[in-house]
Amino acid sequence: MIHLINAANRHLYRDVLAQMHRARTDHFVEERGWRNLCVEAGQELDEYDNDQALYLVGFDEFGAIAVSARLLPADRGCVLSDHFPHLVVEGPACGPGVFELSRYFASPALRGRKHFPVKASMNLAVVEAMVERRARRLVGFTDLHILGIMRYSGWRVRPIGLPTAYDEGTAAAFEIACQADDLAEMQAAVELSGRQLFEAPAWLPHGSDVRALADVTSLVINLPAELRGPVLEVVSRTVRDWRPQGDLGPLFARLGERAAA
Amino acid sequence: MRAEFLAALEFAQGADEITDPGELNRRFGEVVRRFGVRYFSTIVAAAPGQPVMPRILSGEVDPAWSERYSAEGFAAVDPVLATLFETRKPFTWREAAGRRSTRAGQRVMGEVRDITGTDEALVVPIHDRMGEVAAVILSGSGVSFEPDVRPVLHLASVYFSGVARDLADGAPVEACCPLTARQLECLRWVMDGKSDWEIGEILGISEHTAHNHVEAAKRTLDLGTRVQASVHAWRRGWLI
Repeated sequence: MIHLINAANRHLYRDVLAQMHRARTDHFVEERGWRNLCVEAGQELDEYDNDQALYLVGFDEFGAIAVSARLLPADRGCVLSDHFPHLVVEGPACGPGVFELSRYFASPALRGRKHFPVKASMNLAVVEAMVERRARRLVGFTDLHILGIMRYSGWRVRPIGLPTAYDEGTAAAFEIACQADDLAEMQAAVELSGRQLFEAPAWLPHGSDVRALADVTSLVINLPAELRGPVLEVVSRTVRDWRPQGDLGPLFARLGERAAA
Repeated sequence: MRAEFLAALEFAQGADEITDPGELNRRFGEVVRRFGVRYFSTIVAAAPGQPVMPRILSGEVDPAWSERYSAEGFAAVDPVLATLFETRKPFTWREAAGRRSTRAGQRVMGEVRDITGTDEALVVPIHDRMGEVAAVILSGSGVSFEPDVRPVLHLASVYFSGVARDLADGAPVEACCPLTARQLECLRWVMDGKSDWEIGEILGISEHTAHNHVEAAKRTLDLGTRVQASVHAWRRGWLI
């Protein structure tokens, strides 16, 4: 599953976030040559890596970050509206309900046809996160040659301005369709059903094995309908016994209902 | 902002709604003609595990040039095609010829000028994450592709190529070619002497499906053998 890291559950992902910022250095600074980024102690960070930022992270079988992206509520601004407003003809690029997708990268090991499901899962998770937050619009900008690739990622991507040359290439602003019916369309297009997104409860203590928890969650919510009820009951009871102050049962139930819907 | 720039943006914004190849060509043609373009096409140059054999997916091209290109085997020496594999940025014929100045390459560039009456083109590489290398070629006479124009044509070309590839999957490739993209892929391997089983392995489909594609192509072309069908397609430039 794709993990959603927010301000509340960030304590569970300290190492993961450090790994992600290092991977961003490798990808954006070293590989793509973006010279104006700020790198501290090997980690690429900018002013938008704040408490508002949501990070989506997917792991490979060895626990390394395979794919990652940042979703930023653009209520008061975002990278696109603050630094590249000239790329946008058809606004708004910021305001209530607008989110920005940025710093998306996939590990070089994921390139190629056979790894498409991992990236498709990530891209579905992005839209799931937007649907759950009732996003009005998801915007971003990228190199033009990547825009072509994005068309095959499962997303419905539409340009919202004229492209402009910049230091390292030619950038174009886009929006990604992110409503509930877009999600259903996308699931059919990439042939992936079920929920992709995992949001660890904030009450879990530091050091909890969130990846194992995500795997269990995935198993539970993707069970056939006739098995889901009894299994949820057992899991809920077990979790209550294990940690009475934090019941995971409702979480599974909620996720299961969404998966069924 | 220049009106032709906004027309290119509008095309890109609405391209995904287009479901008919003729409509796609008409609308893209309207946009690029405002930039002085006469002929335009989107080609797939190569896919992973396949030889470099460009084929036209959509567009308005000079049929005499397509025929000449395939008959002479220009793909092997074409400097434009070679440059396509080296860059993701749009480039012109002149820039490609300057990078790879061989006698055979100069002959290709000379003949395209003589046959089509065009003397310059913008070539937009389209590399997708599955490893397929495609391009959009926009040519004209006396046209220059200034730095401010290139990003705009690049954007429109990304969508033209993308939609053309979507429509080509299972649809006739061009108005003059009644075969589907998959059938042409199979015929291309028939030309190399591959069996249905081998074609299936190469394309990642079953032997039975490969056989069906070849048989459907034979029926469509009303020809008796698979070799006749592949030669027929090759002679008409459908396999270039």
